[in-house]
Amino acid sequence: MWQGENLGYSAESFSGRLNVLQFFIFFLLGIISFRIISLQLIKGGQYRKISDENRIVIYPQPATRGKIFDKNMDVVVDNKPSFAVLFSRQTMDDEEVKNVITKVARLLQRNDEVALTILSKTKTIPGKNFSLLKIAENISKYQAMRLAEKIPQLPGVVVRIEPVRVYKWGASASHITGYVREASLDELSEYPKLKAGDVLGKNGIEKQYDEILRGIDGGSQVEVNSRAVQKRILETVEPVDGDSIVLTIDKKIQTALSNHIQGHIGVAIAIDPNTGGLLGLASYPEYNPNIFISGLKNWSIPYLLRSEKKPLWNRALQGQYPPGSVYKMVTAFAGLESGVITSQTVINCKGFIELGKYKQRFRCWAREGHGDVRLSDALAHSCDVYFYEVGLKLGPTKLNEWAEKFGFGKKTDIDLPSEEKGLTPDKSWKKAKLHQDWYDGDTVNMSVGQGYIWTTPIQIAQFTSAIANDGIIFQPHILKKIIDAQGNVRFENVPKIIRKLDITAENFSAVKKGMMEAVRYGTGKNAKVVGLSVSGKTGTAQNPQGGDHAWFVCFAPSEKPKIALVVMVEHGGGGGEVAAPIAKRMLEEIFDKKSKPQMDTELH
Amino acid sequence: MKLVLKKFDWILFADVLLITFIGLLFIFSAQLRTGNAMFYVAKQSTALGIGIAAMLLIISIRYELYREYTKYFYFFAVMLLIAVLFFGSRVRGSKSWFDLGRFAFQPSEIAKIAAILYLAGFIEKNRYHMKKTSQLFTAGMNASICIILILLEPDFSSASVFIPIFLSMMYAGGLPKRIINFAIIFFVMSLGLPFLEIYLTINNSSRFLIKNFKIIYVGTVLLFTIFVWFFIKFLRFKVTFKKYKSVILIVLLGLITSISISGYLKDYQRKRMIVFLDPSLDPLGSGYNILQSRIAIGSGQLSGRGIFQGTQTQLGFIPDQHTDYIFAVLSEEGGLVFSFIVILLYTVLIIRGIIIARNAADRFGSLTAVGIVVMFSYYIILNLGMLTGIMPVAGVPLPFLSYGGSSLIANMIAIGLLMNIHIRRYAY
Repeated sequence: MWQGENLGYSAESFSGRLNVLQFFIFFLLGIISFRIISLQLIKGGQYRKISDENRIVIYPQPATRGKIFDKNMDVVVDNKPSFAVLFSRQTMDDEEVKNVITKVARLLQRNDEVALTILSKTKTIPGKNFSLLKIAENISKYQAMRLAEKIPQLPGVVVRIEPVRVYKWGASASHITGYVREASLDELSEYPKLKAGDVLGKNGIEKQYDEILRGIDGGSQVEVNSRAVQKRILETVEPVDGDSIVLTIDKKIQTALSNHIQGHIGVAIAIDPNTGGLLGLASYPEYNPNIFISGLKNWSIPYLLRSEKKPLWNRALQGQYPPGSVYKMVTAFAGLESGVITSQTVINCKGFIELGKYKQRFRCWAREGHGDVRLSDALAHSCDVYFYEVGLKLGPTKLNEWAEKFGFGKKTDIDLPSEEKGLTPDKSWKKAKLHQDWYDGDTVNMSVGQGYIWTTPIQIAQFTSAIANDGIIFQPHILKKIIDAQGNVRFENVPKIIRKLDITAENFSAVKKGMMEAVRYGTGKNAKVVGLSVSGKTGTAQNPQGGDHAWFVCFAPSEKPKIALVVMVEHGGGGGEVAAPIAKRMLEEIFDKKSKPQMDTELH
Repeated sequence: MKLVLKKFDWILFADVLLITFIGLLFIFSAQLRTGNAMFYVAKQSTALGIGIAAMLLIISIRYELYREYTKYFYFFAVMLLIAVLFFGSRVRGSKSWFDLGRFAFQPSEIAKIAAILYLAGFIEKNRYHMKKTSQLFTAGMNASICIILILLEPDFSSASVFIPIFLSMMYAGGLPKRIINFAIIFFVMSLGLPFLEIYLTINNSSRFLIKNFKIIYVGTVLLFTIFVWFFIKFLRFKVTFKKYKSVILIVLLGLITSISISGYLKDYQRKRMIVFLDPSLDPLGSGYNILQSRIAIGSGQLSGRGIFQGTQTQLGFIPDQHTDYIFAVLSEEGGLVFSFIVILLYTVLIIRGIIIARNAADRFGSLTAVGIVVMFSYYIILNLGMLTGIMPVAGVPLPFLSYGGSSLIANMIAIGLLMNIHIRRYAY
């Protein structure tokens, strides 16, 4: 065989060289075999996962957010269908994606900046290119039609109908309902459950009961081919719609409150003294929650956020004010229950009292004085001197004890977000904060709701309601029940009693008598409603920030109270002059007692 | 004829048929989603029939007779390659096909076999002059006619196969080792620059380095060459400058080629090189094919997704499923079991080819067998290496497995030549 012989001059044979070649070929084949084993066996599981992600796209189907109803099942917040534009980049390269996005932006009349933001979002990792990204929502029907026509030229673009929020009561219930907005990046990292593009409740009920309202998003796992054409649906998870919420709010009362607080910077709260359920809550200035939904009016959002009047601020919970003379009822109950006075104790008001060795004068609002007054007169005419004396007899500790019993100085724990807790000052507080001793003057100020005391309107409402129902402190609440989409009750809210005050019936009737007289002929006579017995108390709170805060608290009907009402106008002036007439108009509307000229004769 | 049947290499024939049938199965699977899978299967089966007929025809004539006509075969092949430049139809940017109505025909497939035969004949004729550089140059010049003509089409991957065929046949034919070493130095030199350049660009090296890399590369290589010479002298080997001069010459030649290659490299080729070095850099562009085929192969795991069940295949994520990427289809649907069956069958094919080369009656037969074995091995290694991501992207088909009529027929002709040499191994 020639193959074994030397190749001419060379010491090697053909066979030898063939061996080298053979070794070389099988060496390379060996490497490839190992590579295939590594791909299929060692990394096989990993690649199978990538392969599944490659072909399976999740088309999310958002759950419909629960509705919000009032007490009588009138819809407060509803959902309506709206058009949204979604995009999946598929196998397109950056240039093509840019092209499509710019075209969409043109058709929607958005500027290029918006297009660039969307573009930056679409830079994704391989295998995830088919997921849908929301690039525009709430576009008009006309725009949706135009876009739908152009779909063949816009690969990857989907126009879809999605539910969006409608705030039927609009601005009037804005501080109750709150609003929703698309979750920001920070919020997305804060709440791991949220997906990009999800909305988040930002205020009011929408925030408080966000999880209940949200529901669980569904979606379908769809197998797509390399051009993102749907091949078959592998699995569909139906979305679970959010549960609806029924509020204790009554539309009639809410409308009355909102209508009449209109134009004054202030708060009106109506609460049911028998349950602690909120019947109405209006804080003015208000805002229209719908502007957060319709993208077109975005320009007004900065105004809402920056305005000095703070329209987004719920004054009922977040506003802290000195209560003024409204607080006199606390002093009265404290005095009566501690035995320093009785309902028949007479105190002489000569227009002022003098304290300390420098004879510092603390004046009554009536310069000439009220003369000899009993408790009911003192409440009716809001005599300051009477309560100065009671306060001095009680001392600050006793006064504070009673303030705390009525729920001042801590949160009412109403089911609305961002509540403040107010302040009931005492000796140690003053020492710690102001590094000063407690003087009798401070006691005097506190006995008429002035000085360092801060209360929130909702605390005042809780307090008023406790007087109306003879001493039961309810936790104010706004949730009546939770119902599912079919209307089945999921949860019924039971009124929660925080505590029952151990106050004798006589003492209650004494204070209530004073409140009734205040409306009948006293400082609150502006709140007199024909055909309705109203018990109330005015308050004019001096404060260092500006004009007096006007307060008026009342409950009606006096004999069997159905409603406790608090009206507060920030820097409004005198309680009797400013707040009482507002309360009167509200009560007239709520109880259908519109004063008509011919009804004057029916006065009893 | 009796002799023919008696000495027929049944193992090789069965092996090749088996690969082709597996190919038919997966061509069918790969084309299922298009709806006319049988169309491709029918065309491939027809090509197989023609191929077997051609193989039998080749076997029936004593291969010694071919030796007399290698020059004319080669001339004919070159003529075809020239003709295709004028009359060929353009497919995917390269003019490499004759469109003959129902069938398309690729002359470069024939040219490979003609070149193998020509080289075998040439080497046998000059077997006592293999030491002469002039012989090497004559053979090289003749072989490069084909390479240049195919590059003009342009079809880079078809042209590239001539280089390993040429080198290995010259090596087996007795080319001095020194020249083989020179050739290796030359290729390392000439491919080193473009690859290193791209490597630096990917890794974001300093701008200065990238900008002046050509100068740095040339300088370093020359300095290294001189250093090696001094080192050898220092060790007191009897290496005169006269002997070392040719090394320096080869290095210089390599450098010039490397500079011209990196200058003339087209964008898509540069991209392919980048993707080879790091496919994840461009997952939706050039890297897409590689990534998807790697996903397909990996997801097959041990037993595969099941025939016709591969999601990467059936949903069209693998590109060119029935041709260059058929192994990805096979691996996804058949798993490691099928991948290894196919690799085993190819191993048998190569081993049979080498045995035939070892036992051939004469030099011409042996060298022809070597050329054919190297041609098949090159395609197999390059294709599988590309799919598994250890070699650069090159559009080469897998012999017998990939769809392609003229490629299958040409491969059957090559098998026919192997058989011919095998049958007549004892006929002195």
